Amino acid sequence: MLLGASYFFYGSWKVEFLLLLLISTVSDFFIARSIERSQERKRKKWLLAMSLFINLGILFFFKYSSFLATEILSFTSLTDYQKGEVLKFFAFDLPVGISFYTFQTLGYTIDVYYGRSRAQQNIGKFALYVSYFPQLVAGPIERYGHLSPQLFKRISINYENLSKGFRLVLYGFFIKMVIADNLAPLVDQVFGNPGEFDSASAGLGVLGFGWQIYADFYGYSLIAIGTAKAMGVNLMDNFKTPYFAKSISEFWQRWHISLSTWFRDYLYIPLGGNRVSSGFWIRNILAVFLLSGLWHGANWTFVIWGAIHALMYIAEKYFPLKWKRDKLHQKILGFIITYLTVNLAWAFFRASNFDHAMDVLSQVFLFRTDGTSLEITNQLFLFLSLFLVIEITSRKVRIDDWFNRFPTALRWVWYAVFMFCIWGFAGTTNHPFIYFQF
Amino acid sequence: MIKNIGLRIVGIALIFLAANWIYKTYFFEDFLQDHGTLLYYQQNALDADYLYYSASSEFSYDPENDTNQERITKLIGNHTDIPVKHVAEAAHHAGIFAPCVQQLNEGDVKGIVVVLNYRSFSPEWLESNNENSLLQSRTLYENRPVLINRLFMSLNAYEQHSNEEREKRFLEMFNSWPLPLDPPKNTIASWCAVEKYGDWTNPKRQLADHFIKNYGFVLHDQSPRMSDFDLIAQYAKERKLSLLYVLIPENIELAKELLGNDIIQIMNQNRKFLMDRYDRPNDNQYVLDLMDLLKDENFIDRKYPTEHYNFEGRNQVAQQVAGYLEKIESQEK
Repeated sequence: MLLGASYFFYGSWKVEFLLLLLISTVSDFFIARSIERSQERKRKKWLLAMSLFINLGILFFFKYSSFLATEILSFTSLTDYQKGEVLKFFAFDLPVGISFYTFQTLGYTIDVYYGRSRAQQNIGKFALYVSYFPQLVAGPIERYGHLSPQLFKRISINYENLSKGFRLVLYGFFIKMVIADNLAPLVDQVFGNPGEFDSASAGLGVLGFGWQIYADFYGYSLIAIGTAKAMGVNLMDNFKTPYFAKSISEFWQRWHISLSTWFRDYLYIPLGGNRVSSGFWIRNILAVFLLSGLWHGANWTFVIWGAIHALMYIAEKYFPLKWKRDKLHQKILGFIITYLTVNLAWAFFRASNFDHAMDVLSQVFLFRTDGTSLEITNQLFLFLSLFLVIEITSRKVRIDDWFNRFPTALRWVWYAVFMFCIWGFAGTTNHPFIYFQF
Repeated sequence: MIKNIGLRIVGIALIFLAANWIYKTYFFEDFLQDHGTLLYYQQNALDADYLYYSASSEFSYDPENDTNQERITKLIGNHTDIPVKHVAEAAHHAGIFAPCVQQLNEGDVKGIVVVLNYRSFSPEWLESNNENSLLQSRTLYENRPVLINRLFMSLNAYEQHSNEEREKRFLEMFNSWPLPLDPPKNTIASWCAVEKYGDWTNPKRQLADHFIKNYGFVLHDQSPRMSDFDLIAQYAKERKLSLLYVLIPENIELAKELLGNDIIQIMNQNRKFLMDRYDRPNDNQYVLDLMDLLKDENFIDRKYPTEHYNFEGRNQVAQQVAGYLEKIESQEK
């Protein structure tokens, strides 16, 4: 039933893209079984390469072929019209969630290759692992060893799970609809016409995007985790108050955890991790972050975003202070540097191209006092404050444990506040989840 | 478990009722000012005897050249003592007026005046790029608890189409809606393809095409938008309100100059259809036909057919409406 629901959920967006999901599922199901059965190391490698080719090939075709074609065409002497005609061949919709389920199913095959997981013998069960609807379109990217035992046992609905699940869903909707969607128009204004605003407003726009994308993606993750929890399935955490990180390396332990650990386990460690020479370690870090940037989208801005994180990560290791953060002032300094780096890098993530990002950032650092000021309503200020208070007070616990701290009556006051804010103050412009486009 | 869940559902329902009351009392009006101006105007105009529902034809659209920028509802006051207030916003149409009228209670006002905008039946207006935002604002006007409307607006729970989809839809109408003329004038698309004033780059040719697209259609029972006017009539009747539909002026003079009698014949056929359908004095429902009231010189826009009138034009409309309202009032007495 869950499998049917998951396929219906995905197919209701565009039924033809179910075929891609099926190709990934069927190919990895059989390839993983063949890998497990195979005695020859060389054959196993070939099979793994085949899985990588099929999955990354589909991903590349849908996500990067237009980008690559554009880059190649830029070296030709074709007119803009002719280039446009060529690019029409690559103008197709990106299947929603393709980056997520591709990585999830690839992770499974690699786990089987390394003997970390047994190959699944039931294709229906494997299909459910790939397509489990709460996390299909934007994660968390689950590991087979963590998700499958929960999915394949008999799922029993009980009050405790329902209560904990819906609580997360409610809070997820609150931060998506009230925080992210109310910030979105302000951010859109600044990125839409950066030259119009004074520097303080441009800076607010950039910092605002940092909170928008966090609330947007964290909100989605909580909705996914909560929905699964209501069914008795525990998905992995995806965020742990990332903006309180005191270094870039710590930030990546707190931000999009399912992706960063995926790159750690399936790319960084196989490349040698930190048990290599400095030169190779730098190569490994660059590979992880540049590919992570490219994973988000086919645009140089994502690569630059990844490069900024990589360089900061490397700098932290070689900085004279070695970024020890034992003392309070070091912690504060680390927090400020990390927060500003992460948020300035977001400008590249949000911008449509390099020049656009530089326009926005230069506007921030021109220290202009003339220009339009961004209007932040009292209501939005209040909601952001509320969110920040929850972030601060929940920084050392999981958000569902944070809720559990309160007696029932007080918990219901929180629920009432969240519901009231969602019903009455959610953003009104149409902003789909940002990570759906990846 | 069932008991626990039941108790929580009751709790949520109670929270909703309290939240709805708080929101309606303290927050909704401010929100309407920004996102639902039509209902905001309506709620603040209930001290008038008549409400005047309109799009941009009601107000001045040329602040630089208009000698007097007073709106039609204000000008009506120069011709009658009957208090009339506007519920008007650019690009709005009967589909948006209808849920607002539904929000009226019996006795709130004596009656309503609703512009029966001929052009609002045309494919380009039906599938205008403004339609998404209009339909979004309409979610606030529906007859439901205000918090539900507000939530539906956030969830974008209304019919939405991209500009490309809308263009495709009105192009289909251009191709498929039959016109009562001999080929090639038997559809909007084929009529536009007839060379009238040179090629497509000729401004006069472009203007003629715009007139065909905006005036060339045949109304019938199932025409889009007809049901909206039907609903307004139904709501008015249920609330015992006088209803005056004003078939507002179109630039017939220029249409005839550009396209000859063919277009006039179609327009007259449609006028008759609308009069027959909505002019029912016994039901306290009237139609004031002002379609050919104004001359070309009274229309502001020169590159597209609109209902943007200069002061003289607005004043003439106001005079006619005022006179008709006096007539309705005297009949009721």
